[in-house]
Amino acid sequence: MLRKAIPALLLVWCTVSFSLEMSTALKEWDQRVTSPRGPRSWRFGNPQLERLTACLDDVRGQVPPGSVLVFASPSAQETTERAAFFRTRWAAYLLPEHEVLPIDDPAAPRVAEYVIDYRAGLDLPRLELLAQLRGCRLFKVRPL
Amino acid sequence: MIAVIAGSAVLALAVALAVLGSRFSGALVHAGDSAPHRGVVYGLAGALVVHLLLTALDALGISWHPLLLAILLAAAIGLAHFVPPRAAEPARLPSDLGWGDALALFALLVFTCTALTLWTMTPDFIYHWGIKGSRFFLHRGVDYAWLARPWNWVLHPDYPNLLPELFATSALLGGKFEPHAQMLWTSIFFLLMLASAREGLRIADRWAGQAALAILGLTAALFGMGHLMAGAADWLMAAAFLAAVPALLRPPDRAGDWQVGIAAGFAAAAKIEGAPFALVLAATQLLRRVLAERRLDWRAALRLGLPAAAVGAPWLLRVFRHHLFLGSNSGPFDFSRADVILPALAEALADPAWHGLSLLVLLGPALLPVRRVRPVAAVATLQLLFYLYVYFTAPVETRYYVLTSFARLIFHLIPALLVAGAVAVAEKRRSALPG
Repeated sequence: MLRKAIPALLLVWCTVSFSLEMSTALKEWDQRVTSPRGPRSWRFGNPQLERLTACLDDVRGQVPPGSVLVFASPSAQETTERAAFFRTRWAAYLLPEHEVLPIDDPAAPRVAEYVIDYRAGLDLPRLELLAQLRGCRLFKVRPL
Repeated sequence: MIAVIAGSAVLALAVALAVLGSRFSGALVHAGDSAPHRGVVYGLAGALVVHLLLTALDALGISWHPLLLAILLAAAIGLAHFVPPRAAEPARLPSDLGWGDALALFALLVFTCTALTLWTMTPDFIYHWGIKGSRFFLHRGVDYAWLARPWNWVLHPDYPNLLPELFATSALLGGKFEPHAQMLWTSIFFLLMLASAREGLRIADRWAGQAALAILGLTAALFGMGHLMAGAADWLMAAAFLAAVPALLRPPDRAGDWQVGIAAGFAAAAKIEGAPFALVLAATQLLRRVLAERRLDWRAALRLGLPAAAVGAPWLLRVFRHHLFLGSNSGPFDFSRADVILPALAEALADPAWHGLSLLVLLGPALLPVRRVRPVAAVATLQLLFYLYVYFTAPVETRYYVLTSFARLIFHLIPALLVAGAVAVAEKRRSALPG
């Protein structure tokens, strides 16, 4: 009796859990355009990500493939969120034809050719404004 | 339209891999193996051949031109005809599909729908697997110079590249790197998991087998949706373990050695933790042979070790040559971390995406006393111990490391343990029957 009851209970549990996950996925999908997620939890369809994508699409038209791009964006209030880090990772994914590194990388001052300022408000002497793009600014980096 | 072409390229490549693997059916297939399980073994073997082919092209500095890839794939399928085959008994498609199959396939279908929208895509597709696939697609090869850039340590440059290679190859054949289409690989590996599980569950009685298959399908799908697993390489690990389960559940034989060896090689090509898994898997089957025959069969050892060695040697060579190995992978054993690790493990086991089913990982040690499923339980337990060992040694922030990985790592083990659990129940029932 137990040999059938335990798998049967497990099966019921799995079916209920599966239904819950399915309905959560559908609910979140419906709310994707109003989701207040930070960059760490961005998913395709979130407006935050679409804003970044628009900026990077514009960058693509301005910068030759293979360029070294430094990405700067504001950090979150909460340090564990690592917002700037995860935004840079998204930027790297969305620009696979380029080298993308964060502005706080030790190599950045040496190797950077362009800087994307994604609402970080950069004001650095070596930066020369190249273009004001959708939601961001693109700078050319003057040589050392 | 682009997504349809890209998706078709994924499916066409998957079929081509299976056709390529089927050329070696004489060695790989056990007489009683069902058609779905044969498909799994062929698919994994074909993927390994293509991985080795791509590795050779990289080593020779030859770019992965789509036309060249198509020609090489066709040539490999053609040439493999000349591998002397021992005709395998023809396989029949299963005619006994039941309610468990239907539930499991429904779960796969639902998961696939959520994956194709990218809504259940793993963040690691962005930070690791997908960016590599996309870059390799553009570079037409594994871009070691890019992986070796100091700022690219975040991409885990030292990981084996099978999954990004599959992404890049199907993208090259389809003409575009299309993330929606790449999610199909996850569904394909999910399907392979179900096929292997079905094979392993043939030993269990009909009702228990169908129940276990449904539980497995639902569990994989619910965790895949809740933990966001589409596009992750963890499916390859779970599929590799399950592919080896049927061979581990029957007395050791020649085809079983190859099946375990291929599964080990596939795991070693999939993830960095696949290397110790391959070692554990191959060693377990070899030990079974030694215990059964009271001697060490070197040919069996070769069958078991060759695929993983063929994958592992060039990988290690590249990793050391390009200085890709991350220092964060290993460090001295620090027992004092137990204070942090144990609560973090408890927290990870309580991950809501598992709905409590994470506790099934404890089936590993619990099933060790059951003779029939002991090899599966031993592999799962040793791999689990390896994961714990890493937590005690890796020089990284331990709590964060456990919380961000453990719930996902046990996904490699739980599907195979579910099959082993159902078989153990069937064994117990049989032994309780009079006569």
